Amino acid sequence: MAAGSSSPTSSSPLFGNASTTSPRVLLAGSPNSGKSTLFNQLTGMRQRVANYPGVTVDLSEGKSLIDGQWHTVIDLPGTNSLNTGSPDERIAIDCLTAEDNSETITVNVIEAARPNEGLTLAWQMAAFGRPQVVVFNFIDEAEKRGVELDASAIEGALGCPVVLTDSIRGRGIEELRIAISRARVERCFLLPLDYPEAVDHAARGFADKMLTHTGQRPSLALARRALLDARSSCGESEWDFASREAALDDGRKTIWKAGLHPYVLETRLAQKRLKQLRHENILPPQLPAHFHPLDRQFLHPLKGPVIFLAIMALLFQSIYSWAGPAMDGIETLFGWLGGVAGDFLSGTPMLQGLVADGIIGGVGSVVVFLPQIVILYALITILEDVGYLSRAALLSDKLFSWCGMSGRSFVPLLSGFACAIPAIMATRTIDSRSVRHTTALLAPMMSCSARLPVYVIIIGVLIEPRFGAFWAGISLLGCHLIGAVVAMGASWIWQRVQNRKSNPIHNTLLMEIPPLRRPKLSNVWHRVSTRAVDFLKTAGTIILAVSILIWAAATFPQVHELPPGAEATTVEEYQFEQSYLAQTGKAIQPIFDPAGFDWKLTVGVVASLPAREVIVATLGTIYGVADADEEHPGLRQALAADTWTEGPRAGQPVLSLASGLAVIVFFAFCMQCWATVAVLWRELGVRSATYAFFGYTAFAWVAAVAVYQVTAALTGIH
Amino acid sequence: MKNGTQLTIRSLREDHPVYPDLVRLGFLPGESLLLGPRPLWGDPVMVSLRDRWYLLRRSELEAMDMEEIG
Repeated sequence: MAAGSSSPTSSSPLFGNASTTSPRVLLAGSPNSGKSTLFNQLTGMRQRVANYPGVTVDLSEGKSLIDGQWHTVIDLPGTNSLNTGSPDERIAIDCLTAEDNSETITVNVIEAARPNEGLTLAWQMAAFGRPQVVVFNFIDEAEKRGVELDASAIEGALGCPVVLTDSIRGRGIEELRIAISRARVERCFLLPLDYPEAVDHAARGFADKMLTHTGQRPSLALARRALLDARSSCGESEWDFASREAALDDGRKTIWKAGLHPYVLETRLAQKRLKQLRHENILPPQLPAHFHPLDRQFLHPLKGPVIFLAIMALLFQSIYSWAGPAMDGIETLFGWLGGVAGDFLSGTPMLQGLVADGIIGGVGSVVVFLPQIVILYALITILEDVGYLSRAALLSDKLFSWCGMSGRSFVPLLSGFACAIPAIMATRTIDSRSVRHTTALLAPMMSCSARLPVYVIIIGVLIEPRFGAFWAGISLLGCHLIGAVVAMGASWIWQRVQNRKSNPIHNTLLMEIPPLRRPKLSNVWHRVSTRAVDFLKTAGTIILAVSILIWAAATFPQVHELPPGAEATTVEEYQFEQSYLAQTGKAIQPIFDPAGFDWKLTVGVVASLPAREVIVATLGTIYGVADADEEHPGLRQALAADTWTEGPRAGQPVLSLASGLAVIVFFAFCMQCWATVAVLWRELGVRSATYAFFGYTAFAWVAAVAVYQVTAALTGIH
Repeated sequence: MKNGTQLTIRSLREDHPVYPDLVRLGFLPGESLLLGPRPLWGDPVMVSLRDRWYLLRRSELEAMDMEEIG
């Protein structure tokens, strides 16, 4: 059955050279319909999945062996319609409407419990003349709700293969492979919508004008989309604005004259057909939206905010409390390793120092934070999987709307507590360009897991010994809130500036709330283990290299005897004071002196510009070398015991309340992550990324100085 | 309007910034909406359209001219 009227004309830049590629399978459908889990099932890969819109904001590609032939499977961002929405939806729409010479099968994934809605997109896609398969996913969930689907009856009505799957449990995956193969070989097309002649007439007129102005003629399907989509970008880049707008206006007027509404028409046609299918008992009756019993608690006007605050408090409290035994275990392990290595290499003092103080001391001081990072990631993944983050958007909208963001900003920003990179990517779900820009630029202010070791060390020195683990946990929550509070303040100022320029920020909230789902443990395990492996890789590469460099700089030049008149009491102390590291640190320390950082902290801050967690390894190595003649006391104890040796602060602790807060504030704001800068560059452009890097770093310095000076003046301790 | 109120969309304001999004998601004249919970503070409200829940601001609800059903 031939369908659609698109005539393939050129290869698409979205997919590369079509002629050399294997058949492609595009996974399309509404957000939360389970495309990414289906992708994982088909390809055996591990695409990130979560229960909120916008997890897939980029194209993911994998290979799947279908009927003896390799197919390229592409997981598209979720979209409800081919009408243009947020940037992530545009990516999906561009792929679905691209005209190319490739052999492409579209798999339209629909939530089985809500079978009616997703078909609108399937019918819109049918106009582009590609073989299709319709998948009703999460069939187990639908059956529990009493929704019964007859795949063969629906297939007869739609005209293309229909498969029932449960992507979480792997049900129906083999049937899906067979259906994809059948759709490709037998050229199975979905019956398209019956567009009135007035629409096609207007579309042909628009296509003619585009040919005249640009030399390119769009297919009838694309020209229709241009007229029926209020935000269409068809011909935008090659056509001058005024004549394109005039052509669109003319086309839409033709449709209006026929008594049709161009923007509403397709949805009306789709609804009419759905009604007919329900009337013929091919589709089940439409159930009212399911309201989960837990939603009565999560969204309750009083209980909801209490639960929200309790979850946030539990999140940070558990990071501090639950990780303790595992951290102690790792610390003991590395202490033992250092001891064994030290004993084994006692005949070669230089090598002994390198292995025990440089490598084991430096890397061990970072690896010890692995349990906390694992707990943070696991808890955030569970919140994402359950679908709680979208509920939190309802509760947090007020928090964000006053400063020009919205509840939509909450999901990427909370993800930023795990890592800024997916958070910046997730801002693609935000329609408004300015709100998206603001949210992406502020996402690095959320305290990511790489900042955790820094906070934990400072809290471990200043708070925990005096006030206990409970207040240490509360302090950790406070550290994470600093960035969020300042981010909102910055957004408010930005909004005021934009409004003054008579360029008010258009900020909408409208978003779909996904159903609550039980978290999938394998997904939680996968995300947590991936992050843990990444963390260990960083520890084994960048941090190992920096540790060796820092050790070498702290060990050379070698001094073998104490010169007369030296202030140091031992050769080791004198050698450390004269090392290249000490000399460099002392040379640059004046920059950070107003923030109360001594030369060792300054070296740590500078060394951690590529990645924040490097400071811990740097300090671990420095204190390991400095205390080489003593039993290794652990970084926290070494920092707590360290005092200024010279200057007006001589004898005072290096890590006082003032300098400790200054370190926290500096790390809360400084852009010490090259990977984040690179993603900002890609998403927002080089100018924004450059401004962000220098702006954040300068702001961090100013804030650290201000916090130090004010706290020192209040406490009288510098 | 309270949680549980049923409404019918009479018409849409085409000049409202959220209009294209409402149409894209199927908020059309003649459709019924059910108001869901809203937080104690702030103005977002959950709205059920056909078989899905959406989150809108009160200012976005103003893009629809609605009347209460019975």
